[in-house]
Amino acid sequence: MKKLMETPEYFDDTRFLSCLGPDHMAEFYEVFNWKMYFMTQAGSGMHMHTDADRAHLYTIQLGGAKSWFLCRGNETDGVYSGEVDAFGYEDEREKFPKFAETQKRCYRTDLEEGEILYWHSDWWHQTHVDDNAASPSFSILSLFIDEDILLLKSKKTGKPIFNLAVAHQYGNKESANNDFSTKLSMCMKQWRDHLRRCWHPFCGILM
Amino acid sequence: MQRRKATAVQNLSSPEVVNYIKTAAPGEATNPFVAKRQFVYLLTLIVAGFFFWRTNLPGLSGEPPVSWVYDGSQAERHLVRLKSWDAVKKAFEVPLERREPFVIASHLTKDWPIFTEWGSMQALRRHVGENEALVSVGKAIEGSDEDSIEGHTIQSALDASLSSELGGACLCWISAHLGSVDWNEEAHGDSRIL
Repeated sequence: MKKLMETPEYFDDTRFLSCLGPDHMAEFYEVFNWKMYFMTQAGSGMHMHTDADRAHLYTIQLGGAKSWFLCRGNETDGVYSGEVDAFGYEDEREKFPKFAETQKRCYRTDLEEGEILYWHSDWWHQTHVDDNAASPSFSILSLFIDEDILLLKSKKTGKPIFNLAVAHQYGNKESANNDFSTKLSMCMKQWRDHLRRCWHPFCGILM
Repeated sequence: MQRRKATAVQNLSSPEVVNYIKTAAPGEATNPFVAKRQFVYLLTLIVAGFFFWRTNLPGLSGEPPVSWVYDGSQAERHLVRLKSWDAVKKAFEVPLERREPFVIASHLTKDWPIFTEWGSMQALRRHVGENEALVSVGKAIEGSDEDSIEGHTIQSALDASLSSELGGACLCWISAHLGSVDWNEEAHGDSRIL
């Protein structure tokens, strides 16, 4: 397995992906936006959305700067299911009146080079690179799936939420999902055991 | 020990203390040193209580509280920037349902080579320019496969994204395997974007 990029040890998932094996790795990539590199020019960004991964997310600002808007997952009505543009709201006040109050409970931050933003995929988030930015923004998005999340169960139904998310993506292939889920859980455990031996404090935090 | 006892007795029998005891109202503390000590204890308790409350706010871990800034008519709440790995660790200890997003300050990552190796267009071209990828391009990508450019190298996709057709404003979303595998070498035989 050849790496494209040398990442710090705690973001290096080579061992984890090798453990999954070719079939499950393919399935894994189908389900998760695992790592992405964004080159974002002035005036552009990602619309308001949530991710279905139920994972921890880290975005590492490699160069330039990017603005972020984050609202709790239960603010779906207030963000009009992602229709609102948090960065251009002044022009949309009449169309989305509820967001005027909702935004006060949300976060806004400008991420600069070298900074890492952490959030959970349940949160609504939108990005924007300033219209007058001198240079594009470069960032990497990295996921980390906690074993606790794999085991997370719905309070209502008592069923594993993770499997439900996978089932949502895969229709009715429930038997295959169980096998995938078991393998994922095992590889996650191996990765965690490996990271426990990593010298950097961030490894300890991820554990 | 004998000398210390003697000093204490001497202190209690000083004219100042005797005078205080004589003039004290019934029920009032009869020893000024005890009263002063009680006040110091109370003050310490209040200060300790305040610090305990501040450092146990969810997700803050001793960092400055979130601040409200009014930028024109839009209210903005800014995220905390955690300045030590201990603070990051504490933020992770907050249960998931109450955990707030946070930013890890750049001085903690300043030595990571990834920033200089990948933080520019030149670096990107140098490292993965010749790799094939599916790249999504658009001013504000609404879906994962919208405006995607297939069968290109990353370099050609970048060139396309920078072309005047897109007004110079684009978001390039390059495949999910960075830091993981060279997709070109995988059994799938193609590259893609999720």
